[in-house]
Amino acid sequence: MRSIKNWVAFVLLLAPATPAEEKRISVYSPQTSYSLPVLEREGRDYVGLLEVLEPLGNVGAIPDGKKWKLRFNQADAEFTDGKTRAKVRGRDLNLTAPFRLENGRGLVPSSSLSALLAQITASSNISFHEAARRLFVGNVSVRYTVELSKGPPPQLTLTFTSAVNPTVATEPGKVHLTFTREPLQAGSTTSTTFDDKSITALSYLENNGTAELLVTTSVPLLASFRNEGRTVTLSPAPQGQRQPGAAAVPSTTPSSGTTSTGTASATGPGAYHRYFAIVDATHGGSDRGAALSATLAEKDINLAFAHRLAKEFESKGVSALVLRDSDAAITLEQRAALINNSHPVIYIAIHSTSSGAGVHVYSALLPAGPDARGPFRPWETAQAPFLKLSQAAAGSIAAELQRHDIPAKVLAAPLAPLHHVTAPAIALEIAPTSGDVNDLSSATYQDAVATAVAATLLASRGQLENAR
Amino acid sequence: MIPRHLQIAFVVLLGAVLGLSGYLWYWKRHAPPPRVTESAHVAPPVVGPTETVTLYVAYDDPGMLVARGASIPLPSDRQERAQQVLRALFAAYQESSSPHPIAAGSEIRNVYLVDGVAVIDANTAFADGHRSGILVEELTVLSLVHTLATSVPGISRVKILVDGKERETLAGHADLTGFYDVGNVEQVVNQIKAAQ
Repeated sequence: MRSIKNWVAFVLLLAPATPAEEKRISVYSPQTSYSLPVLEREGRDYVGLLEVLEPLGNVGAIPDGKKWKLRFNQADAEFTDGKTRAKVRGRDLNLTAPFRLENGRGLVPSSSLSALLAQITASSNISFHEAARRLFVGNVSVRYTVELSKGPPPQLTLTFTSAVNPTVATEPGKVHLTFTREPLQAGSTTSTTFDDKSITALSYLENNGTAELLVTTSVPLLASFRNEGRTVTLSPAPQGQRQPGAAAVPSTTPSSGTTSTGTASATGPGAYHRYFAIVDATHGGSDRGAALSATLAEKDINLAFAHRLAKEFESKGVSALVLRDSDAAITLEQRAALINNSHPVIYIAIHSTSSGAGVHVYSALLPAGPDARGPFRPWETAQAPFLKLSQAAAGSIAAELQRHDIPAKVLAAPLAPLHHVTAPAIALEIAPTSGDVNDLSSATYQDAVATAVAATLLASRGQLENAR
Repeated sequence: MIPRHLQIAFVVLLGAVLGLSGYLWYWKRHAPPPRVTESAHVAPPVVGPTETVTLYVAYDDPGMLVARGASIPLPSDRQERAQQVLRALFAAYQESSSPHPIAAGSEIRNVYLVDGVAVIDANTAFADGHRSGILVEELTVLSLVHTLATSVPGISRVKILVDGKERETLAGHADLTGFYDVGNVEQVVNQIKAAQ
């Protein structure tokens, strides 16, 4: 299946109706997307404020009697159990329902999140789709355009502003494309009807922390992904592939190019604790990394390879999160916090270079730092308890790459955020094999490296998981 | 009627004004260009006997450190000695045939020694002009730390500043926020040596 370029489809039987879902809220930010459970208290929706803020920056909270003091980056906030009035950055803020302190955990009404986050982060760029429980922090959105070509056969083309990875499900006469991690927002209209007998309508819906595109159809459809996951096309399935009684034929992840983070269906956005690997596309935004050539920036190669490696993990049935899924700037401290909050089995930082040959595999070169005190680990040397496992993983990867005739070297490097990571952590610096910098963009070379890395880490999965 | 002596004085003064204007115009056109002030830091001449020190010079290809002897005048003061050793290392990297070139204008501004801690203060040209990459940056850091620790005994930790300030990374990769443990650096140097 991997050999089929830019096009894949899986013929599945009719998907069952969606089971009863727990209430969730999704948060989309430039750094990452995630979802959290919503708790019902006295008929109102509440969320844990600490959990909402954790992936967005440095946050800590201390319960003090009935009070709950929170610090996010440089901002202080104070809440009182049972009271609607809170103090954020020295200013009063009225919540829509009383703050709740439950076993040291601070719960706020979800309907207050927009105002609360705007004041805590001192940002006006916060948007909350309250009915659908979708919170947009910063300038994040994925838009789409729709085009129906009548054919024959008719073909519905959905073009997105960035790569998407929807879960596809079917029921008689309908195909649901559900977007859990993508900050998908409606186009100019939420509903479009087509003058076609096979594909009759497309609707945009939002519900329970997800966005959905619903295609109404009278024939089984085949979905395919192109343009590195930015284009989804739906067209009638060939007669031989139609299932009796099935109204539509769903497709899963795109076969090539980049995928969005996480797997399509097994893990939703809130499942980041379950990731086997976090693959970090290092640099990003104005930090272009090394200039590999006059036109090629390190950040772009890193992102492409990170997606390839994540997909390789997913094809082997394990989940992987690509840290930095777009051209966003994320600081080293933010990366470390995101990794440590997600508790992955392994962290892999991706770098690329135009000098040298093959792949350099690094573990952390720990700086001089204070000793651990009891359960507290110094930030500078948080990697220390995991270093031997990281070194072993680096050694195994290099050996596997060499077995596939890819030159590989193992080293320790003073490279942040490796030494802050509380999990086995390695970095790959990918250099051309032949001295030609264009090797770095080669799908064949990237595939060969990704396959060797994923196979090695999965072979030592048990040992790595024990480190947790 | 203007008296004759006033007419003569007016003509003389007018002649003088025109003459001086012409003189100024001539010198403006033919004056030598202004002297350019050299902004580069000029180190005072070093006083001391010439000694042979070992510089651990980085080679980009194949990514290793090579011990190279260098004869340089070394003062007796430990701190000045540390500065001279690292300046000799930078001079080696700025030769045209350098196996690990660093930016033109790169300088060691100072080296401070306090107990077992050494603080290397390099200039902005060094960091801003450094090539970006894990290995290429790491080789520079290892070369500096290992050369310094070998030439000046008693150093256990090394911190690298740029223009007197802490910098997050050298050129996007090598972390400069912490202190380098000389023992850990030595292990990596040996690891590189063993891998050759």
